[in-house]
Formats: sequence, structure tokens, C-alpha cells
Amino acid sequence: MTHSPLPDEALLRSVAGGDSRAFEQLVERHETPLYRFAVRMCLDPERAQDAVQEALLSAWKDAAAFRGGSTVRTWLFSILMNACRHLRRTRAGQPVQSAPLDEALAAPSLAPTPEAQVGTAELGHLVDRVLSELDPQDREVLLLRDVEGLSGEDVARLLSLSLPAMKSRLHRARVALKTQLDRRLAGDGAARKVAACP
Amino acid sequence: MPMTCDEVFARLSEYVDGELPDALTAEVEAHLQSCENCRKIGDAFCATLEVLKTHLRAGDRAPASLRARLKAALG
Repeated sequence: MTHSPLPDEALLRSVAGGDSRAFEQLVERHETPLYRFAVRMCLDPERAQDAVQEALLSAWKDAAAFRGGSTVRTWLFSILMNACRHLRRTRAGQPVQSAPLDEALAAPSLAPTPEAQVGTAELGHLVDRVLSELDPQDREVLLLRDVEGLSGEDVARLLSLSLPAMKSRLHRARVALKTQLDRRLAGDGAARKVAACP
Repeated sequence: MPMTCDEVFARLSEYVDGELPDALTAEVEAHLQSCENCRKIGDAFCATLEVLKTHLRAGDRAPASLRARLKAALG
């Protein structure tokens, strides 16, 4: 597919007019970050595809409703977040277990830098595993701000928080991630071997 | 009055993100220069964030099946 030089807003205006090629270009541009977010929120690749499909189909149907109060990217993430939350509520099985908040905010960890302790690939798997075990609220803010790089203002808007409240949640989530990661790295060899298995 | 370790820790995310006012940034940096413990914590905190960003951005391309599903849904 030829990459369009048109900005998202222009593509979305075309989508609102029923232009399916513009929609394909919008999908190509955004599907990977949307999927990347969904797979870590839904914790299941199939459900992640369901969520992204739902979000993109909503974008196709409701393109005319976009008023420009945010970027198109942020708008797509807002639709996706609702889809992921809906799927999480209807998901069968145990909810994800997370570390208690007071543990996450306790005395700062003194662990050395994580990369010094494990190889790069294993560390990536471990970070993913630890992230999947965090509270969904913590995961959301980390993924939006630190992985997808949305602005603080956009993340606050997506989470219906004030900017200071978002920053507070972000800091809490980062501390929780760090604490759990350190706990894993300090754990026994069996736990690390499991984490390293593909 | 110089910042305490707890106060610096509470501001660590904003400091790392470059979102503190200049005066507060200077106070945090002054503390980090004088407190080895906080400096190690700060370095480890930054390293964890770097791992998060680097490793999680690298993977998980959207599967080809997603576009096929969209195409089928749109008819």
C-alpha cells in the first residue's frame, strides 16, 4: 500500500465521506500501536484483535463525530480503551492479580539496574510478564504514556483525570512496575527460567 | 530547606520526564549529587523505564488477520 502523506485529520474527513481507501491508510498507520496496547490490556491476542477490530469499526462508522478536540490518534485510543475495558469485564476466568498498592509505594527499591542482571531478550519477556500482572489502571497509564508516548495532557484526558492526578497515577504505576520487576529478579532461578521460556 | 529522600522520590517521575519547574529541578539534582542512595534509586528507576519503552515498543506488529477481519466486517 502507498503511504499517504495526508495528516490523520484529512484521512478521517475522507473516511467520514465513505472513502474506504482512506480508512485502509488510517488502519495501516495505527493498527500496530493500537494492537500493541490492546494485547497488553486484554492479555490475550484474540481478544486484543476483537478490541482493535471493534475500535476501528467504530472509527469507520463514527468518523463524522470526530470534532478535533484531540488528535485522531488519541481519539482512536479512547475508543480502544473502552473496547478493552468492556472485554475485560466480560472475560471469563480469574482476574489478574496485582501487588497491593501500599507495597508498591513503600520504601524505594535499592536493586541495581535490571539490565545488569539478565540478558536483553529475557528482560523484555520479564517486563512483559510483570506488566501483565499489574493492576489494569497501572498498566493503562504506563502503556499510554511510556510505551505509546502520548502527551501527559492526552493521557489525563483519556483517563478522565486532572493532569496532577494522572502524574500521580503514572508515578505509582512506575514504582509498582519497578518493585515487581526487582522482586522477580531477586526471585529463585526457577521463576526466572519460567519467565525466560518462549 | 533541602529536600528529603522521600520528597525526591515522590518527584522522581516528574524529574525524569523534565516536568519540574527549574527551581525544583535544581533542588532534586542537588540532593541526588549529595545522596548516593537516591542517586542509585534514580538510576535504577530510569533504567527500568528505558527497558519498558525499548522492549515493549519493539514487538507485537498487528497480525495480518486483523485486516482480513476488518475487510470481512465492512463487506
